[in-house]
Amino acid sequence: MNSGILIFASLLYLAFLFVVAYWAEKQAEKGKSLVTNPYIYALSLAVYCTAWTFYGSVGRAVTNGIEFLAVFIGPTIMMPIWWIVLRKIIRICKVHRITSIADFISSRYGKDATLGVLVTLICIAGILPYIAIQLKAISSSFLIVARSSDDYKVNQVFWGDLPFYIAVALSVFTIIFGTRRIDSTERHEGMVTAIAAESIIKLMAFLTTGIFVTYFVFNGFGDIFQKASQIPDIRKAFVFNNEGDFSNWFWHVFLSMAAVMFLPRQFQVAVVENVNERHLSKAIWLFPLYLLLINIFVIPTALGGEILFANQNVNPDSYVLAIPLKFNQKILTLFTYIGGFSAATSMIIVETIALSVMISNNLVMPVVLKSKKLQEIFKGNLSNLVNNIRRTSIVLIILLAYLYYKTIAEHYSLVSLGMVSFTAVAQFTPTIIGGIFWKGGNRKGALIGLIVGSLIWFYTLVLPSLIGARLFPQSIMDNGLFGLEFLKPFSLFGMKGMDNISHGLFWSFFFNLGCYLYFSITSKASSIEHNQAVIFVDIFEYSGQTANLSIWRGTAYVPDIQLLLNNFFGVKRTEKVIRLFAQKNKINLKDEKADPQLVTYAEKLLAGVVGTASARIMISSISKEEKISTEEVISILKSSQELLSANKSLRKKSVELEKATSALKDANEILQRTDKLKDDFLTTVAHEIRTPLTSIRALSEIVFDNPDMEIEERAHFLSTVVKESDRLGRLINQVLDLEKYESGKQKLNMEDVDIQDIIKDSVDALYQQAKEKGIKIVFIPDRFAPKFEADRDKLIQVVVNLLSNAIKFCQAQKGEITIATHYVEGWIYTSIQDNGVGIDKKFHRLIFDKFFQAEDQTIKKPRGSGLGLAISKKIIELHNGQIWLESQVGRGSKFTFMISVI
Amino acid sequence: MKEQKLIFISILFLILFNFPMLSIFNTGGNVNGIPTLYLYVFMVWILLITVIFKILRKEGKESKKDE
Repeated sequence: MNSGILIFASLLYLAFLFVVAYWAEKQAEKGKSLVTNPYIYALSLAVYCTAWTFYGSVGRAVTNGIEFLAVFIGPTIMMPIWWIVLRKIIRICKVHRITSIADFISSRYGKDATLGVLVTLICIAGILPYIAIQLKAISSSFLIVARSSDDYKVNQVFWGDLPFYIAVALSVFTIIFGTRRIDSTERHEGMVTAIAAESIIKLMAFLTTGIFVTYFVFNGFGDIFQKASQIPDIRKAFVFNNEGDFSNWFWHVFLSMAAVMFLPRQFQVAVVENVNERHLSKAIWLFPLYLLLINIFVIPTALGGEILFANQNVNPDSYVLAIPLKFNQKILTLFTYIGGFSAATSMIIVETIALSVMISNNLVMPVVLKSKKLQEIFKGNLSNLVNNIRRTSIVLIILLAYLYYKTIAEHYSLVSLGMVSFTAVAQFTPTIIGGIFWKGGNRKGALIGLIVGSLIWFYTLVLPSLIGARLFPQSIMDNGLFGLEFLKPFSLFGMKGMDNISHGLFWSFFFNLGCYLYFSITSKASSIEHNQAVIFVDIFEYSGQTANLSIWRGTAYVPDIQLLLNNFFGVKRTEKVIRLFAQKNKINLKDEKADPQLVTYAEKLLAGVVGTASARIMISSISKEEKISTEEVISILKSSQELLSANKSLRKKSVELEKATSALKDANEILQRTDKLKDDFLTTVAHEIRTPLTSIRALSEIVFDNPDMEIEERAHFLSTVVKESDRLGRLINQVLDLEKYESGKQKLNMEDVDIQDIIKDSVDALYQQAKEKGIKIVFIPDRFAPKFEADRDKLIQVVVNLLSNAIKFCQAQKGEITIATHYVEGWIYTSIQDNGVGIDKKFHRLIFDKFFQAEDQTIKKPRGSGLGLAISKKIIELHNGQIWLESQVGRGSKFTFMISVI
Repeated sequence: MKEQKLIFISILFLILFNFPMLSIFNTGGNVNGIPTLYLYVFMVWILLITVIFKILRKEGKESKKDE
């Protein structure tokens, strides 16, 4: 393939990363942060899979069979424990604003600067070769693809240094998205999103190639294995061939269990960039799933390569590219190349950021802060200094990695160097795991353990590679250091039967752990070490308040603190931050002497920027600190714990009180409403009674005053008086009725009834009235309706009421009323439909209220007491049924009630 | 409770993934052409992921209820 296209694709891909990262930061500024998503978090963890996974796994599978999988099985076994260990580490880092492994260890063991330096150096020494092999992977993958093209020789001069240009571009990316903010506890959202995108791309690329090899070049898994098993050399890789293989497998699994937590890039994405502890619960199964997916096709690809390139001189590390190339799949080759490229770049970016923070906070800043001279030079400009140190170290790291690649890495395959790096960071295991679960671990133990462990690591694993590059004499390998047989780097003290990684890991870990335990037990810890131990180990007991709990005693002045913070956060932000903190914790800022809480808070703010050790140096430079004993620390923690729980129970009580108050308020409101309803009811009843009474009185008076009235006229008047009296009587009966229903005194007289009978009886009662008005009544019975238990008279009352209403509202001569019954699933529905004036939708519910018409004076007052529907509703409800109205103005109304037959 | 479960799972699978468990499948035989050792490792791997998923999903639901 044309190398121009390759370069163009690589640059295009880098541009894509820039865009993704930039876009993510813009989204974050808008408040739509992408990294609050557990899937992005899980994908960013997949930065674990580097170019080593992408190309090296296949190479490893060819030579050592299944052994390469140990590197992915280890993390998977580790995942359940992550929930316990990593969650604790995340919490500690959040509470104490810790931003790197070096900072973590130095903070745990008494905020010790020396430990920070040591850890940083181990990381640099361990990781630099690892970054170098990523550059190597980029360059060799490029060469493999470009070699297939015709212009290979012509352009050799130009692209021979492609890794160099890539290194430059990556430095720029890392500087832009890795050092934009000074406070490294603020996360690098753009970077994380870009890494997550890279994880998707490398997975897709590898899967695509794998599927191509397995299903297009061959006929599935079975076919490849079948063909491969005919080659004796390959068949050997199907099994573990001796006891040593098992032990190597175990050590590799163990090694990667440690590495997946303590590689600086893993620590960066898993701990520092973690937004929410809850994301862990998804990542814990998503991440191993990712590892599984990316490994499914490794063995088929390896075997496929062996079959296709038998006896040809093709490096197994390059099979992923060589196979699609052989079949002239240009686009697939390009995609695979980009996949490998993304695996390499993601690793370089994150690792470099993590290292640069360590270098600035744990290596350079403590030196600057301790020296008066240097402080004079950078006075007032410390924040820029930190950022510039980080930028410089990013460039330096990438450059050094490039040099390493040029001088040494060319001699080594991808995997062997990766494992050496793993072993370096595995040295942190005793110090960190011991540090968060065992209060007895102290600085001396950690320091000696780390020094001894890393020295053995260097001697057994790094030195041989330097000898391989002819930087040291070969005699050390053959005869041991100073000719001492038991000092041979690959079989220290005569130990044999393991590969060099397992061997180096065993000895370094053995001495590291041994020294850590021995010196921790035999030496005494200082008070600050003790204090930090308590805070770290018991983080879940005290977290929540340790955030602003002060375990500091001494004298410091507010203006000094302010000046210190000004250096890093600017005057405005400092003032705001301090004011907010003072408000929240009720601290009086007018006191010249600073409150211990404020001092602790300031130290933590600084720790987020320059690291724990440096922050401590700065704070002690402006304050006079008094010693504080561990007993005091514990009592401070305990008392604040009690305070917290007292506070909690108080808050709980006040919430309960609030609830009670609001319940009372509600009850009171209901009472007031009922009271008002009762008043309204009385007014309405009085009004309703007065109307017939007035007319009775007026008519009686007329009759009384005119004794010579004509007999017919008198009879007419008197009949009206009788009618009105009847109406009055009915009204009073209804009011009494309603009162009975409402108070629950009304009892039903239950018997077996037939709905058809009830309707017939009701219609009979009103037949005459309807006939007079010329209204037609139609009845559609449901013959399947069974008998049911009900109060017969009460139901007749309901039907008569509905029917008489219908007759009332129908136009004379044109009216038509339809009564229908339906039996559906245990319910009898009875509906009475008229073609009268209809009722507006907003009154459909209100109409069942007592004296509804009286309350709404805008609608025409119908004839009747206004209690009929209210009583009907009560009766139906007493039968556990429902009644409702469907109607439209001008289209008639339909009243329906349903009663259960069971 | 959950923590104990998770630690148990880790230890169990550490054993399943190592000698002498592996030696049972280290026979050189095959199932449909796929070597038993490979098949075993991948199957246990899938099983482990499923188990973690189940534990955390169940606990996740419970902890959500508590809130």
